[in-house]
Amino acid sequence: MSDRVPTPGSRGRRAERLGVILFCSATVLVPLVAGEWFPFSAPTMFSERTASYCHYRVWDEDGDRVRRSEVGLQCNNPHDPPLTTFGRRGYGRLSPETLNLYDVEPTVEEIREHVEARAEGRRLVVQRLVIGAVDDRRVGVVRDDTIEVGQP
Amino acid sequence: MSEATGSSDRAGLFTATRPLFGLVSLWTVLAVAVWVSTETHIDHVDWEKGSPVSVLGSFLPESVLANEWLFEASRWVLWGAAACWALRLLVPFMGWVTFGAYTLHASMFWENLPWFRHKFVLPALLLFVHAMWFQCYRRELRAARGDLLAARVCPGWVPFLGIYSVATFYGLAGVMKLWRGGLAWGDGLSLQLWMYRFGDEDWLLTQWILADRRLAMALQAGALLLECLAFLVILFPRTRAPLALGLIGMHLGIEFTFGIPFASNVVLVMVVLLPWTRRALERFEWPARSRSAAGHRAVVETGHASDRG
Repeated sequence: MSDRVPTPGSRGRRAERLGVILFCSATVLVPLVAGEWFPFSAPTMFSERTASYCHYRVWDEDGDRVRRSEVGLQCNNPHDPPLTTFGRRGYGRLSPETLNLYDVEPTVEEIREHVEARAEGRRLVVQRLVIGAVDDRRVGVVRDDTIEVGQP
Repeated sequence: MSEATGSSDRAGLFTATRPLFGLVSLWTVLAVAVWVSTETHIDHVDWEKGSPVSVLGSFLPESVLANEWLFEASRWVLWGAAACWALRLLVPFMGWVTFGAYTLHASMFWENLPWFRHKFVLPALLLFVHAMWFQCYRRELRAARGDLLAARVCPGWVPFLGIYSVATFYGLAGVMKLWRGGLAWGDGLSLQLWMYRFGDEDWLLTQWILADRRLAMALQAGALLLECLAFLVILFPRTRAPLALGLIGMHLGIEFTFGIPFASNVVLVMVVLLPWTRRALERFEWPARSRSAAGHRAVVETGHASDRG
């Protein structure tokens, strides 16, 4: 539209220019230095390059399913990597401890010890499926372990 | 690029134009801020406090950040102040109250979450930009009351900083992926694993991605490229339409396959970044051209419009 002509007189008041410059600088520099610091943000969603993960299923001795979070095998956060800047770790609230992390494949013994410590004396059966690349086209189960926890 | 867009893009950052687009973007941002604030809650206060994830969270004590009453009060203040601002009541004060209430509310939400909610970021930045507009042009906006749409009271930096906010938000998302995963981030394997873990298997796209890593790689690398190229929209207006459409497509794909809703960002990208919205509004202003000169003269003659040196 040809009627968008500059208003008479300069509008470049110093405070206005300073505000624009500070906004442009802060919205880039603060996230690069600090990461997440709302309202500044370096959106890290899905930024990790995952190569495998473990999927867990848990049953009790009656064959009923047990919630993974009861024995520390839940997936806390499938897509937001934790904060690591300025000594900060994690998120606003810390999730319960879990063995279920991307690219972490604990040994059978580590899983048994971890679950046993939370099983409250119950006998449990844990199935661990390692999910990763099965060939150069697809992903799927690359390993299947069944782990018995607790004394018979 | 049309003549309309070309002329408004060529107008300087500190040159004022008529405010219809600025007002529409303000109303959109206010609606989005209110919208996303209906999805907030404090559910994890009994979990151990982690690290501060917000500016306010770095200074306020945990007892304040987890205070349910303050959380609800900030939501109601946000809604009330946003309504006042939309109607241009008690401005610029209500602009800052809206920004402050939104920032407090979203900060409290983030400080009590064991993850992040990135859709709260863009509304905060855009609320700040519009609050700054109403602060810097408070005299002109008051003088133009009654003939606002014909007065030149919206500086070029309002739409520019809107575009800049969208560009840096998505551009930084691309930078973070390169930073953490390198160029190999887009190899398709991690996209397939995320799909396998929580993708909606009923969607054809999910099935295609799981069946073929080459397609997964094309989509994942394409998303990375799209995000990294988002910086271009700051300086190159011709890139805005294709990149905005790409970002909208990416969000729709994520929503349908992963079930992660980013509709609020889609709305903001459509209004702030997609140039067609602005062009349509500029065409809509044409009939007011004859009034424009009179309105502009009226503003200038009050002595409020030209007092910036």
